[in-house]
Amino acid sequence: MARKLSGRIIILFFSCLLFIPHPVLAAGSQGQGKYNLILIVINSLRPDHLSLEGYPRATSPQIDILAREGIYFNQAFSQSCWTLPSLATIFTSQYLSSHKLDARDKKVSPDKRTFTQTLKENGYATNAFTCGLDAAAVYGLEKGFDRYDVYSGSKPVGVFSDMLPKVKRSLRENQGKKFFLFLHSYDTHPPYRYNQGESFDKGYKGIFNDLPMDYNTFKGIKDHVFYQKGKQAYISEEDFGHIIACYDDAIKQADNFIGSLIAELKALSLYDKTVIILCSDHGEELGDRGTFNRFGNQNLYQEVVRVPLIIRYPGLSKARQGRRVSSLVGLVDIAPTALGLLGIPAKGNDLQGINLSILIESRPNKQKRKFIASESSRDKWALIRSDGWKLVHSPGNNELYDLNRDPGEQVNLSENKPQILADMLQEFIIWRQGHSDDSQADNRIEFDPKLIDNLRKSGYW
Amino acid sequence: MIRKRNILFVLFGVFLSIACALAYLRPWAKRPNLILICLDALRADHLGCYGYSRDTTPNIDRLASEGVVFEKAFSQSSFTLPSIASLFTSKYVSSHKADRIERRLADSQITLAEVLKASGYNTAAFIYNATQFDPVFGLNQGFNTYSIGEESDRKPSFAKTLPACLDWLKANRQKPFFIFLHSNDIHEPYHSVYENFFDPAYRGRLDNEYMASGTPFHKNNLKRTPREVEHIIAHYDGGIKYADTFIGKLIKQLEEWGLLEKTAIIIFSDHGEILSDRGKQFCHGFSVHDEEAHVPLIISGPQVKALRVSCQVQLIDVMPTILDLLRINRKNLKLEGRSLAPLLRPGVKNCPHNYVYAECIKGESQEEGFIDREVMVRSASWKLIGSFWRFNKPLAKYPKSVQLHNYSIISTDGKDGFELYYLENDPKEARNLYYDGPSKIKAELLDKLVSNF
Repeated sequence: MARKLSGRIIILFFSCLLFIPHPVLAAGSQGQGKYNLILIVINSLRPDHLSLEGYPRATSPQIDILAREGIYFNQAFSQSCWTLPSLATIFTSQYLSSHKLDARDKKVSPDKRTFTQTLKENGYATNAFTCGLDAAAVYGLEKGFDRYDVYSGSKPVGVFSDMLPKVKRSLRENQGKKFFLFLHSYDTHPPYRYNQGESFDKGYKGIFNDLPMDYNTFKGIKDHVFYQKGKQAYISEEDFGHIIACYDDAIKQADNFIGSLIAELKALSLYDKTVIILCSDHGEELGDRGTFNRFGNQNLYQEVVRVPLIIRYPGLSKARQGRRVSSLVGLVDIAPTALGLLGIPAKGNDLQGINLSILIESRPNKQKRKFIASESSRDKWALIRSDGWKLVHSPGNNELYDLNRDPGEQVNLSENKPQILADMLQEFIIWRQGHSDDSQADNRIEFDPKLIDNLRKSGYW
Repeated sequence: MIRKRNILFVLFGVFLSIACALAYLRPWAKRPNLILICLDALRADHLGCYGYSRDTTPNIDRLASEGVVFEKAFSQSSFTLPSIASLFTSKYVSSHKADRIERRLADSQITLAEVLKASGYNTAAFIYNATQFDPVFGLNQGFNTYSIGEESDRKPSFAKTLPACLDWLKANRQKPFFIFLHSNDIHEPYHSVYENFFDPAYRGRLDNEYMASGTPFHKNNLKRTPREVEHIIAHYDGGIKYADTFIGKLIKQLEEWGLLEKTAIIIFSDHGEILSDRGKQFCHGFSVHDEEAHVPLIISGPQVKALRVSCQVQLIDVMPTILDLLRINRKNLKLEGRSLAPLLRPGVKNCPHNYVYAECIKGESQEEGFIDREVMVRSASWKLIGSFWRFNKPLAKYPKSVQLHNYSIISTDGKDGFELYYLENDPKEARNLYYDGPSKIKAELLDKLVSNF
């Protein structure tokens, strides 16, 4: 079967192949494992609701500081639309097609290494404080953590303020060690636990007043009508505004925690010895298409797949601090970038992302990718191209958008632009061929030598 | 009392009408026996009943003249293991994943034989030294009797399998049976050892050559003269004629035992064969062009009337068709094929598939961590082929820039990674329109391809 490669010509290989391992930047070259790492995932946080992106409300003063002192990636995309596959992408640096963790009855395959494992092998103390559910310690993503603490309080979901005392304690305990700290919360995920929009919508007296901002409430919203307990009510702009105010308030609460965390790091003299990466696992639907939250509709529109990504690290020159990078990047890049910044080689990890250091240090707007993929399942995916074209595909349905002219993804051009549609389908097909893990445990064969002999005789071996 | 009787009458009437309707809709209301015959490596255009000029298949033609001939049937791979696995499970190769020699059909897959066995059929398979039927590959699932021979020669094949089959039948013909009968007689090494031969006048250097892949014969194929190519094809056709005689013997024996009226016979091939097409060697498993993917499919049996069907169909349709005709519930099996039962009756029908699919692994190397894969989607008028190399680990011999692990590139024999053919004007798939063909067609077919692979 081993037919020779010779005589064949490589016609095309896509852009990520152009990546050449970079002799990382200052930080990495200063010594292996010199810095600590903190990775903060704020569940369901939309970047366009951060004040650093020009959002009119002051939702994120502390996060803004991190961005000002670090690098902000304003074209960062999640590789899925929901938490579990997205976290799997962060920890394995693999796309959904490869890590295949796309359902809650699955575990990530034992042969997929997480970058936590790599850090642990390099002497890092590894601690996680998460708020559970899709970040629970059952999917194999807890691999490599010395401690994986999951919120166990009485509220439906945990938030950062629940874990603050524990996090502080952990920081103090690990002050003298090299450590990796993973923090994950549901502050901005329904139900929003905060005070009915007090920060931004005080005095609201509409139909959502005193209702919990949770799935049950959101489920009743269809277009402009609110259905609950057999009753219907018209939803005014004010009412919609209230939900968004509650969401924004939740961001503010998460932001407060970031403030406390920074203060604690400074108090312990860790702030300038620590690489901080802040991101979200996906965005959120806030009435963009009439619905709230994602409710398993597996949308891959911008409000769901675009995420914030901030990387702040010691040794970043003043001139580069606060830089905005507009190259296409993804959560898949977090592990290679983190390892790169810490100067730790990724032995045995199948990293599919790229080390973003090169973008930070030299050419912030150089496109390292022609496109990036996001998948909600095998059958539904989106391809976002650096030239602004976006394709959302599901069986029997293609939606093609020109994000440059139509950032809200309202006008499907798939009928009008068949050549672009064909190009993008082709790009995805080739991409998937290289990124789907087709290994299967249940159909491997143990051959006996006699059969191999027979196969060889028949020309099959 | 009276009321009750009325209700009973009504119920009886309803029952009668349902029974009549079913009897009309289902040609196989009485469960017949089944014989599924695989003529390995037989391409469709080399049978008489598919319009071939040589009289290769008189016995099959007779069966075909009384049964349904599917003029455009496609196998799901050009390689035996994946193709048969698709037929046995009604799953595309990408679903059952037994796509290469290193993979088996997982035990979790439910096969046609398993379903028929559970429905009361005695199941038996007769194969002779076709390596990919070794039980290690999992194609034996569901067969009570699985006879695969023990000697190391691959030929003759039918001369061994048919007697074994008939011996078994002799003892087991009283109860419903499902037989899978396989012939390797058409498969290379070509038929130089047999008598039924279409080119007796030839004398030359091919006379003593062993016509098998992986031999000097195979290596020399690219340098053949047209006369030599003609002669090799005559050998291939001789193999067909030889296999066909055994179909004749089988039918005769079934007739003698009075089984022919009670037995449905389905003849197909798992893939075609490259007979020097587009300048390639004599072989298969190298592409999904029509010479390898277009296969014969003939269904004959009780209440099946003579018919020729021009709809595109697939080998994965065989299982749902059989289960449909036997009224065996298949709802929970998640079969990916469609039942062809509606096509067995005359009249204008909607075709079951707007698109058919096939794929093959053209080459692979576990040590080097790469596979070379070709996939196709075919509508009634257009065919799109994509060809990919995929690497699992960096290869030293490639430029540094392409050493990033886990990626794919497109390739096809030094030409284009994608091919598009307009079959109405170009049935031989000679003119690649991918780079200047209509974008809408390209997008339409790529869209289908992406959903299936």
